[in-house]
Amino acid sequence: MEDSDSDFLSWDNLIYIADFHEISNERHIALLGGEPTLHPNFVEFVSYLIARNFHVHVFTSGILTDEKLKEACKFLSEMSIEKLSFTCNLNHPDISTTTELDKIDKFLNTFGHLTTPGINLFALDFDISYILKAINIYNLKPHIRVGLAHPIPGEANSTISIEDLPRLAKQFLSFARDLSRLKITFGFDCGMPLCIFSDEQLGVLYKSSNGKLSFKCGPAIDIGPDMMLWSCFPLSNFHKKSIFDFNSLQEVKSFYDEIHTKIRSESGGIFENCNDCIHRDAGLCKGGCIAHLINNVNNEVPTTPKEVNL
Amino acid sequence: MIEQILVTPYNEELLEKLKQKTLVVKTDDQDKIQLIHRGVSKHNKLHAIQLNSPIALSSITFKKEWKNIPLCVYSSEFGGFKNLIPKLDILNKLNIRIFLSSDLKENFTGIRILSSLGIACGLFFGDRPIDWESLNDLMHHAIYSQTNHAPIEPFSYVASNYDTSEYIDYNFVYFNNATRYLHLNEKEQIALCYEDLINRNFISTGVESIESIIHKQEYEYHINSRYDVMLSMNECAFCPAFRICLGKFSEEDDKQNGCQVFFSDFLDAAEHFYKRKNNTGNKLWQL
Amino acid sequence: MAVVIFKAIEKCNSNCIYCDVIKKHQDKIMDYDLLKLIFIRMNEYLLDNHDKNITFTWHGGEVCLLGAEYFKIALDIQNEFCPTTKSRIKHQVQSNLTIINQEIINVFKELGINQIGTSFEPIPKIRGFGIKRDSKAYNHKFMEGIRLLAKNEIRWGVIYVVHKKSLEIPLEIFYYLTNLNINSSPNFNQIKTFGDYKHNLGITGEEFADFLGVIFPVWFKNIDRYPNIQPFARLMRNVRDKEMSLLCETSGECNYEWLYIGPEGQTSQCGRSGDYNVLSYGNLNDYTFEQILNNNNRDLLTDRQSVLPKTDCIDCRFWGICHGGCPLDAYMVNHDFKHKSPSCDALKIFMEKYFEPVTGLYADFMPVKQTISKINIQ
Repeated sequence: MEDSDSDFLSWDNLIYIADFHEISNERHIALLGGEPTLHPNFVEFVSYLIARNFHVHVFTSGILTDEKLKEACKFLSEMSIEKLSFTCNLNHPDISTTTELDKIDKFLNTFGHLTTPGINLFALDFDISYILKAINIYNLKPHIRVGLAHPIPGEANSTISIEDLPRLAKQFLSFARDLSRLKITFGFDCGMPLCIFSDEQLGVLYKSSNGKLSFKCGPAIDIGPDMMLWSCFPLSNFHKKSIFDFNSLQEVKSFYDEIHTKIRSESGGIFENCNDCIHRDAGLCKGGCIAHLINNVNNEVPTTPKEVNL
Repeated sequence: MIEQILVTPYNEELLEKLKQKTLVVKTDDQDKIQLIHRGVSKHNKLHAIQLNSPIALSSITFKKEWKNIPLCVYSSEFGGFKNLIPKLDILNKLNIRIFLSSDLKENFTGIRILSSLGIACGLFFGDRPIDWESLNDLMHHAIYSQTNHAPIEPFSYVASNYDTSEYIDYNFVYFNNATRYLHLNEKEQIALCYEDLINRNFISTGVESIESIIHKQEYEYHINSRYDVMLSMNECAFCPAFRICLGKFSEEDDKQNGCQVFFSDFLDAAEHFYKRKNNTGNKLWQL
Repeated sequence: MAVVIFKAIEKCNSNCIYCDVIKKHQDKIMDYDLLKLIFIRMNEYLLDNHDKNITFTWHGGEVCLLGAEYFKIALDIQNEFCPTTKSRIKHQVQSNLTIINQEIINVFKELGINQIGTSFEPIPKIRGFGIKRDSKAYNHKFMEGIRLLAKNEIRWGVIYVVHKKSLEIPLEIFYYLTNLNINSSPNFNQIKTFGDYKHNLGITGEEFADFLGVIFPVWFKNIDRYPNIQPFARLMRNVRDKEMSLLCETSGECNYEWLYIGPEGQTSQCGRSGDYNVLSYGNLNDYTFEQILNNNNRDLLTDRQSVLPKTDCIDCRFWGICHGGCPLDAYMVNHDFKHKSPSCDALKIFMEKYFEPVTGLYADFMPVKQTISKINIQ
């Protein structure tokens, strides 16, 4: 049995994480990266977790080497969706290379029936029509996971500025009719603010999302190969803790919930009028991604030392 | 007195002479398992078949026909988990205990994998120096982990059988305690433990001599060999964890940082388990 | 209950460095006529005292030097002369186990003995045979002895005498002894070095307390693993559970219960007073058990218990678990019983420095102060 080197999650740590989930009565484990399929033991890890009766969800680009895909096909393609599922973030074909497209094609041909397509919105001129096509071609799950690129405090990454978010809303609404026509639903990932949509737009979205609209932002809990925990991807540099400091996922969640609550109580939401927002008070919207708030704090003169340490 | 179990190689002529005895039959050929089972079941009680596998665990072809055979597999290496994946279904249905050598670090992980998948397993001590820290980690996992997992030996045996007023010999796990197991070879030479068998240190010869062995002074000395450790005044005699180790690692170089630390932690863990088992809490009045 | 320390022989096959009996160079063995008389005397006593029992401790020297035949005769004598009282005589044995054999064990079993008290020392040249104190040979024989006891399912327990060399390795000694026998935990006693002691193994009370103090936290942490280590378990029972459990030397009540009988029928308070030749109560040839157990000399010990709370032990909060300690120790130092024993210091230091800080318990066993009413009659 080959174990992984230090850049990758080790077998022992995977077992610990699985135990940790089991103790927490959590039967769902999501594997992400980087690109999780690059892990030398990817297929073994997934098979192991499934053998332990976990539902495994893999976030992937769908770009796998032929060898890895062949291996995954051999061991995983017969799995039911109750045991294994994928989210494959599909970039627009225009910004993907032919090789990448070829590999994604092979992946979706093999695992399409287990895959939910996703799109990460990081520019305003986005398009989703290619995803609608892919759903049809590869028999993907008729649902699109819509993520919003959030800032990573302390790093320069491509995001849509807060001011431009209403324009993003408008652009997204332009696809609503197609979604309804093709009976494809969508779901927002975390950090989407409610007020960038008008009431009329919200009505349309309500129907297109099967009534499952969410404008929340909270700890998702990521675990790194070094067994460090953080609240979510944008906050991967903040309040990292070792998994060994906790006894259950519930404890971890409480820990990061407390931090989120504290930040939000001190910094409000991403818009100025978040402070007086009745929908935020009612819990309908969290006031956008917390990473924006931390970015704002970091760009200001600190008011208390604690704020700087976030 | 509990009837002693004979640990023997598979030899039809020998088995003929061992009628009515309870046996552990050893083989290194996985293809003979069903044959042995059929052969032994006729006139003997089969305690277990011990397969000393010359190949990695994951390369063994487990068969669904082994379902009702008490099996004990010894393998020097776990092998690739990938090879084991298609066999997990069958493995989970077998009456099996898998032992891997302490010589390979990967085996420690292999044992965790097996245990977490509900397959009873354990570690046997190989020839290379023991990685006491890894062993300690595995012991902690075996005893303290709150997840459902299959027993890991010898930790589970010690934890389950520990009693504050008894010495405990985990060699039972390896069919290697003369109060329960005697070892013999095809020439009917009998030894009190596996090491004696290998070193040709026999206590008697001939199947007919088996009954009289327990009356021999050598037998009494062997089963109470802990007194020899006490007499030798070596480091083991002064070790806090002697009661669960009984001086098995007396040749170890750096005991204070190696086996002594491990066995002291192991003793604490066994005691923790013992207290938990025996702590029934305050008695509630009966309805 | 009367406790008889019976030394039919004071000779020993070992030359333990701290032993007081062997210094007497007493080679005599009690003859069978006297042995018979002792059982007759015990029978008289038990017939006259229906509520009493006798604990009859075979002590030495080394009792096994008497040989199996001697014990068989003792058994026959008991059966013949104590026909109705023998069930109230409980036999005990103290032996070094180095020459015990199956034949002796068989008689012991017939005498109702199912456990034996012994001593052991892992440090070389402390206990051993001959002038050179061959501890290797001694230990070998000892292990033979305990193998035999194990085979016969006879329990045994060790008294460990703490001396100067022990101070270097308290935990090692503790682990060794608990490894040697996990069913019966050791009892740690301070070495007694009175008179012309020449081996430089004596220790102070403070040193003894420090020795115990190294072991005590380990014991307290693992109290279930080592349930009956003494004096720890007894002190816990007294202080935490308020269940008074005291030895002869700390009970203050040994006065009329204990009795030493030597090879020639000479009697004294206990084994140690017999070894030191103090407190003679006469010879069994001349007196009955009743007379010896009520000998006037014993009043000295009773007086001591009323004097000490007003003098040496006044305001001592450990009085109730010490009672001034062993009167013989006090006598050996002061030539007078009406003083506290030097071992009190060890107890006090151990309690204050180790027991109480580790357990968080507080011992309060002050002597009861008697209020004397003064009445003016004029």
